[in-house]
Amino acid sequence: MSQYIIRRILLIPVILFGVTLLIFGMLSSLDPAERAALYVHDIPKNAQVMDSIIDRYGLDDPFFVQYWHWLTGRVDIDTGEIEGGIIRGDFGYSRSGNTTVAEIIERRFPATVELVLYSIIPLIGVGVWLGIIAAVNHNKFIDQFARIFSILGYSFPSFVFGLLVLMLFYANNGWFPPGRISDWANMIINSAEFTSYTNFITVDALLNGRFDILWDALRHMVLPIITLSYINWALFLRVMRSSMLEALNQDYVTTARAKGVREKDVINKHARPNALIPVVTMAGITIANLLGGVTITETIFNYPGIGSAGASAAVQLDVITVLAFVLLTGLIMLVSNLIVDITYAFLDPRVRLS
Amino acid sequence: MRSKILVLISVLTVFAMIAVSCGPSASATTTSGAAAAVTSKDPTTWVETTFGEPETLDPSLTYETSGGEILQNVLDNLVFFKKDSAVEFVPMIATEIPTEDNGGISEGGKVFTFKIRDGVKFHDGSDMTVNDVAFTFVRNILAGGTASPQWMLTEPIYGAGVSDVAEVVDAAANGADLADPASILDNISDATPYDDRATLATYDAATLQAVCEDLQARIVPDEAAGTVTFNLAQAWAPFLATLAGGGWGGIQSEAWVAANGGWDGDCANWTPYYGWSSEELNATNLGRMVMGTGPYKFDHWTAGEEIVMTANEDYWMSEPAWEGAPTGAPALKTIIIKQVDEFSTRLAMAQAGDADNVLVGSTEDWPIVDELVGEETTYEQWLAGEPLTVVDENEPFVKVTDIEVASNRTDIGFQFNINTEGGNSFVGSGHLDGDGIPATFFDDEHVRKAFNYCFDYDTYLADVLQGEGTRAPVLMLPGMSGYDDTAPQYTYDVAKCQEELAASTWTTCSEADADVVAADAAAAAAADAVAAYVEPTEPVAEGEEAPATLEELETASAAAAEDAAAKKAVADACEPQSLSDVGFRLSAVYNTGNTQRQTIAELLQAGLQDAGEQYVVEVVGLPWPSFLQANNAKKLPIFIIGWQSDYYDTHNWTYTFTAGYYAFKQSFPADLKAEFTQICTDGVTEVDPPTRDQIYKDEFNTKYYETAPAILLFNVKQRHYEPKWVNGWYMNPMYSNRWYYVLSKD
Repeated sequence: MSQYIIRRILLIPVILFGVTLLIFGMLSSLDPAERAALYVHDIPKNAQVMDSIIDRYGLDDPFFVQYWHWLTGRVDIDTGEIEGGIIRGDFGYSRSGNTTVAEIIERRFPATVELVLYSIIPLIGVGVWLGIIAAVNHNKFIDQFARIFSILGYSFPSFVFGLLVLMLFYANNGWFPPGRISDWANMIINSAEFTSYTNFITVDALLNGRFDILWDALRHMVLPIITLSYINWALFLRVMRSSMLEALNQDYVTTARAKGVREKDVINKHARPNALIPVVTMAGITIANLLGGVTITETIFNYPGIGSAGASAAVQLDVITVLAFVLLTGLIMLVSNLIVDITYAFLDPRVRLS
Repeated sequence: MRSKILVLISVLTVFAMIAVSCGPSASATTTSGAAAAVTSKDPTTWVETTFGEPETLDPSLTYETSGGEILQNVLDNLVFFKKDSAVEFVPMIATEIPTEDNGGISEGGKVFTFKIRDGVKFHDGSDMTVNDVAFTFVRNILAGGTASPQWMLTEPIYGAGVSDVAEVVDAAANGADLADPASILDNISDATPYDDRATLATYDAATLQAVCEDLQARIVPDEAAGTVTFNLAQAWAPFLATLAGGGWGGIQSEAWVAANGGWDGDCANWTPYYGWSSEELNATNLGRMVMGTGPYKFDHWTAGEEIVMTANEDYWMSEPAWEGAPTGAPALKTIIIKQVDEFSTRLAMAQAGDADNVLVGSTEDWPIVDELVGEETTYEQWLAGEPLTVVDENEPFVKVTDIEVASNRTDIGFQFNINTEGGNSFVGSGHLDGDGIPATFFDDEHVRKAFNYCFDYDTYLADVLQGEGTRAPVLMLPGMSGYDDTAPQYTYDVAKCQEELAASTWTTCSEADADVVAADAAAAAAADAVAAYVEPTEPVAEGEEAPATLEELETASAAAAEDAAAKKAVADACEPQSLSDVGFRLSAVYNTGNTQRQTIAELLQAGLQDAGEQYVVEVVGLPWPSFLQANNAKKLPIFIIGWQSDYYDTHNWTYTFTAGYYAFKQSFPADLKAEFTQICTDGVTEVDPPTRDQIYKDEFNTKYYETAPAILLFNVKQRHYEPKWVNGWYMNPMYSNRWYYVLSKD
C-alpha cells in the first residue's frame, strides 16, 4: 500500500502541471485586448491605456513565453531582478483581489476550511441519520416524508434558500448576521491585543481566551451551515438509504435477527457499518468540493472565503489568480481522493490498493 | 418513535422558516406604537456597504470613486466644494479662494497663488508646510502614467492637449521650448515612452532633470510668504474645479512619501517613480495606506473585505466651511467601508441596522427598496428642511427623489470610420448593398441625423429611467458654462428620420472604378504573358509542373479582357443611389448584463424598422471582454459614450467629446476635430464667465447640433435611500461617494 501512496503523491505535481497548462492554454486563446479587460473596469478615458496594458503584462507574447513567465518569473526591466514564478513560490499579484494571490489564499482559505469543517457534522451526520431512519421505516410515512423533505432541499437553488434564511433569521430579527465576524470583534482581531495563530477565528478566539469572539464567529456561521447542509442532505439520505436497505436484506442481518439480537443492535452494529462504505466516498468528494469554494453561499452571506474570490477572478479573466486557485482546488481533489481510497481500504478489507 | 418525532420537528421547522420568511417583514430597529423611534445600533460607527474597492490608495494613480472616497476623507485639498454645489468652493488647506480681487489670480488667469493655512498637522503629528503642498503636485505629475488622472494637471500646467509628463520629456528631447505650449505639442513624437520608465530613463539625464526643475518652477512654494504659486501655461477657467475634487489634489507629506518608498523630491532621480502600476504601488505602503491632514485617519484595508478609518480628533477645522457645517473632531468616530457584492445582503444589513446606507445596484432595485420606505420627500424639500411625508412609520428607510444634480451621463456615439481590417461582422457585408454598411457610413451627416430622429426617447425614459430624467439639450450638464435648455434638440420623429435617410445619397462608383482598374491590369498582364510566350525546348523534368501552353495563355487573356469589359460596363452605368432605395444592415452591440445598453440598441432597432424594413439593426450582446476589445478596435458602428465628470466644468465635456478622447474613439474627420478644438480652446482660456458662456452657446452648441456626432440622451434624476437615523446627508455630484465629516447618526 505504501508504494501505491507514494506513486499517487508523485503523480500530483504532474497532474497539476497538466491542468494549469490546459487552463492557461484556454485563457490564452482569448485576444490580448480581451484579457486586458481585467485591468479596465470601464471604457478607458485615455487612448493609450489598452496598448500600454498589453505591453506591460506581455499579453501579446507567445503562449509558451507567457506560461514560462508564470512558471519561472520574469526579469524586471528596472531592477534586473526576477519577479514572480510559481516554482519560486510566488503566485503573483491578483488584480481582481487587489493584493497578492498568496495573501488571498492565506486569508480566505482558512475561512472556507473553517466553514466547511463546521458544516460537515450537520451535513453528513443529519444526512446519514435521515437515510437510516428512512431505510428502517421503508415505505412508511416517515420514509416518504424524509425523502420529500430532503429532495425539496436539493431542488432549492442555494441562492434562493440562502436568501430565504437570510431574510428570516437576519433581516427580520438580526439573529444570525452575514459576514465572518461582527465589526466590534473585527476591530479586536485587528488590534494588538489579539494574536492570530491559525487564521481560524474560532480557534484563535479560544487560544486568546476570547469566548465572546468565538460565540460571535459561530453565530455568523449558522446560516451558511444551514444552507450548505440542507441543499446537500438529499444526496446523503439517498445513498445511505439505499445502502442501508441493501444491508438490511443481507443474510447476516437475518441471521442476527434469528439469533434474537435486539433490532437496535441489528441496525447500529450490523447493518450501519457496512452501509456506511459508499457514504465515505461521497463524503470525501463533497468535502473536497466544499473546500474548493462554496461560491454562492459565500456571496449571499458575504462570507469572505476562497469561493467568492475565485468566482470574482474567473469573471474578470484574472488568469494569474484563476491558475493559483486551480492549483489549490486540484490539490485538494487529488489529496482527498487519495484519502478516500485509503479509508476505503481500511473500511473494507476486501479492497486492495495496487 | 423518538426518531420520527425528531424528523417531524425538523421538517416543520424548515417549512416554518420558509413560511415566515415569505410573510411581511418588520424592521429590526423600529419599535411598535404610533411614534416609531428609529435609532442606529451604534451612533458613532458608520458601516457603509458597497461593491468595488480601490485599485490603489496612492493619489498619483487613483482615478476611481472607491479609492477617491478614502482620499477625500483622509486628505485635504487646497479648496473644496461648498456643501452641495459643484461650482462654488470653500478654502481648506488654502486660507482663501484665490480671486483677482485678493491677488490670488493674476496675469490674466495664468497665475494662481494660494495662501496656505498655518498650524495644520498631518496624522503622524508632523507639521504640514508649503513645501508639502508643492511637492504633492510635482510628485503626482511626475508619477504620471496613462491610467492616472494627472492629465488634468498637465493640461493647465503645460498647455491644452499635453496629457502626460512623458510627452514633455519627449518634446524637450526633440528641442521643444517648454515655455511655449505649442512648441511642446509640436515636438511630441510617436516614440513617446508612455508608461515605459525603462525607455524614459534612456533619455538624456540633463533633459530629464531639466523637465523636473522646470515643473518645480511652475509650482513654487514660498515659505516666507506662506504661499504656493501655480504658473500655468495659459489661463485655465476650470483650474479651481480641478483642484477641488479628486485625490489628485489631496495634500500629502513629502517626508511620509519618501519614507514609504516614493520619490524624495530629488530631480536627478525621478524617472524610477514614473508610471507605477497599482500592483507596484500596492506592494508598498504608498498604495496600501494613505496619510494626510483630513478629518479621518486611515486605519486598515483588508482587500476584498473592508477599509476602516477612524476620526481625527485633532482635526484643524475651527470655523465652519459654510453655514451649518461642522467644526472640530468628526461626529462619526469609526467608518467601516465593507465589501458586500450581493444587493439582497446589503439590503438585509440595512434592514437589520448593521449598515447605514442603502446602495441599490440599478433602477431595477428601486421597487424592492420602496417596500421598505417609511418616509419620503423631494430633494428640494429635503434641502429646505421641510417635514417628510410619512408612508409607513414602521418601515426603516427614507426616500429622497427628484435629485437633478449628476456628474455623469450616457449617450450614443457614432463611429465615423469603422475598422473593417481583418473582417468586421458588425457591418454586415461591409458594402452598401442592402446587407451591410461601408466603413464611412456615419461620416454622412444625414445618417447621423436620421439615427437621432429614429430613437424613441420617451420609451427610453419610461423603461430604463423609470420616468426620472430630463432630455439633455446640449452636451454639457446643467449648471455648466454654456448649458442652454432652450437649445434645439432632436426628437423621435420617424418621418424626419425617413427624410434624412432618403437625403443620404451614396454611390458605389468608386468601388466600380477600382474594379475596372484591377481588371484592366489583370487583362494587360495576361496579354503580356501571351506576347512573351516562348516554345519550351527542354522536356519537363519529373516532378516539375509543366508550363502553360500558348493556347491556355490565349484563353486566359481573352477571359481577362472580357472581365475588364464587363467591369467597365458596370462602372459606366454607375449612378448615385439614395439610402432609402438601398437600405442597410448593421449591428448595435452591448455588453451582456448591461440592460441599459441593450435597451438602447433595441430602441434603435425598433425606430429604424419603423422607418423602413430595409433599415436593419441587429442587436448583439457580447461578454464584457469581447465588447471592450471590439470597442477598443473601433469595430462598433454605434457605441455608448458614457462620461463621468472629472471636474465639474464644461471643458471636461466639450474637449473630451469633440477634440480629445471621444474625437479619437469616434474617428472624427480632421477638419471637424480642428473646428471643435478651436472652439474648446477659446472657451477654456476665457476667464470671463459671461463671455465664456456665450462662446459655448453660440459656437459649440450650434456646431454640435448641426453635425450631430452623437445622440444625446437624458440627464438622469437620481434617488437616494437612507436609514431614518442618518443626519446631514446632501448630494454633491463631485463627491466620491461620501464626505463623512458632515454626517452623524441618531
